[in-house]
Amino acid sequence: MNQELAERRPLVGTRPGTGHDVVDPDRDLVARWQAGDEEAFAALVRRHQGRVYRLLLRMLGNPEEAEDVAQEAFLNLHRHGHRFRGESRFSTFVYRVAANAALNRRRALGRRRERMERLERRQAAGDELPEAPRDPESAAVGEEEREEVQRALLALPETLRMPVVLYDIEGLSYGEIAEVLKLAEGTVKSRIHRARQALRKELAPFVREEQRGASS
Amino acid sequence: MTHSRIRRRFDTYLDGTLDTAERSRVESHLAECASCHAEFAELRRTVELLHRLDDPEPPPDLAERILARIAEQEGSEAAGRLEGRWRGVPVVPLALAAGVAGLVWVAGNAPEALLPEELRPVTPAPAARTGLAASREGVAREAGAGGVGDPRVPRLPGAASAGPQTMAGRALAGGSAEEGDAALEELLTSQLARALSDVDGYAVEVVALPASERGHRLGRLADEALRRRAVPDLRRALLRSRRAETLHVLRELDRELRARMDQPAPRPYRQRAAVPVAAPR
Repeated sequence: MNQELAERRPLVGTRPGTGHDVVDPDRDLVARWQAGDEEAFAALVRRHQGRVYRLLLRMLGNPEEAEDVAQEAFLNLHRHGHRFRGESRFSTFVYRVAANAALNRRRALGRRRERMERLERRQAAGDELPEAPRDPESAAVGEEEREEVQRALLALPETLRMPVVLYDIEGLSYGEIAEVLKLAEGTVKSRIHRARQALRKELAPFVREEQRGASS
Repeated sequence: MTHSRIRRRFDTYLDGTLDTAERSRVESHLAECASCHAEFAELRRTVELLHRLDDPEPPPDLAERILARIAEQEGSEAAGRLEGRWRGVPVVPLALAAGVAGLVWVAGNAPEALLPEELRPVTPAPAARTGLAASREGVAREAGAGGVGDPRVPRLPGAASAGPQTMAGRALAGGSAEEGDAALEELLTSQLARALSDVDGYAVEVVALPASERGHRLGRLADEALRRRAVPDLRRALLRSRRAETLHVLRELDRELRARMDQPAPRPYRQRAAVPVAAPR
């Protein structure tokens, strides 16, 4: 263990906002797991399954697929977890593994099929434009809106979808997302910007309506 | 500032990460420019929709299914690797190994007087003595601590009345080196037999051991399995287990077994058990 510590490479790419300065709440469990305690791994699975599942559900849009890919993600984590050396928070590492699992799944589906699906989804979104203005005061997102948002998310290219899901739904910082996706922070920012703009256009019927309702 | 430059700052403005000067620039522009204001309102509403999406709960037993799949997948892949490596290695064929395991199990459980002579514990072959002697201390610990093997260690006929009842116990109490080796062999054999016949029960007992003892115990069981050419059988036995609470112990054992896959199997120290002969000379 000591030898392992001594062999740690200097931290590369540590950015402000990765939470590296704070003590990682998973540190002890990770250390126990890496020392061979499988109970500790089970505890880590229980602790992180929710965020992995959420991310994958947002990315893939289908509960069964989300669970399947979540299982793959944790399988990969179990296999390659010894590579984690504490350069970032463990939760960031978990997101990274989950993100890769999602991207691999998408690649397997094939680009052409995905384009077709996206087209169909857009078509469907166009068919279901709401006719009546909705209540702008309502705080909770209704069932229909939720579906629309999910549809709009799925219509984004995944290079834009992943950063915006991590930022606006999962609440990661730019720095953490850069860490997860191995991108420069500036790239992350610009992708989030483009994703939000695309979502705004995709969700125009909803967001414009609200606008009308609020100004009247 | 142009409209497009203002609009490029909408994200950071929304996130509250814009510095004060820029912030007031954006705000004064928004107060004057209706089209930018409209676009900003749309963007804010979009982001709000994302923020207000509720968190879907994962299925209730997702964690358990994840752990089960890991156990299953890693187990079967390891088994595949194992078969690949053992193919062509001139070892006792699997069927014979299984037979040996059965014999060993019997040997570990039945009173010696009832065994055919060739299956009774014998003095270890000289080649294995060093390793055996080195392990004696650990066995004595196990025997003394009432460890895994104890209930299964055969009692010596007529030894019920006084003193330690197992050979390991007698070795502990100051028996000869030969007795100690035989005791070790007996204990290891009975542990392997137990693990092969009831891997869950074995694992439950190992779980109860202090953590520092556990690795030691599993390591020696794996050594014994290698020596007895029972590694594939033991791995098959543990892959069949589905008990979540002993999963970590079995995985640890599996790691021990896999770590030995590259090593040549040592000569079995009880030759006659591996290749039964008709009659002693």
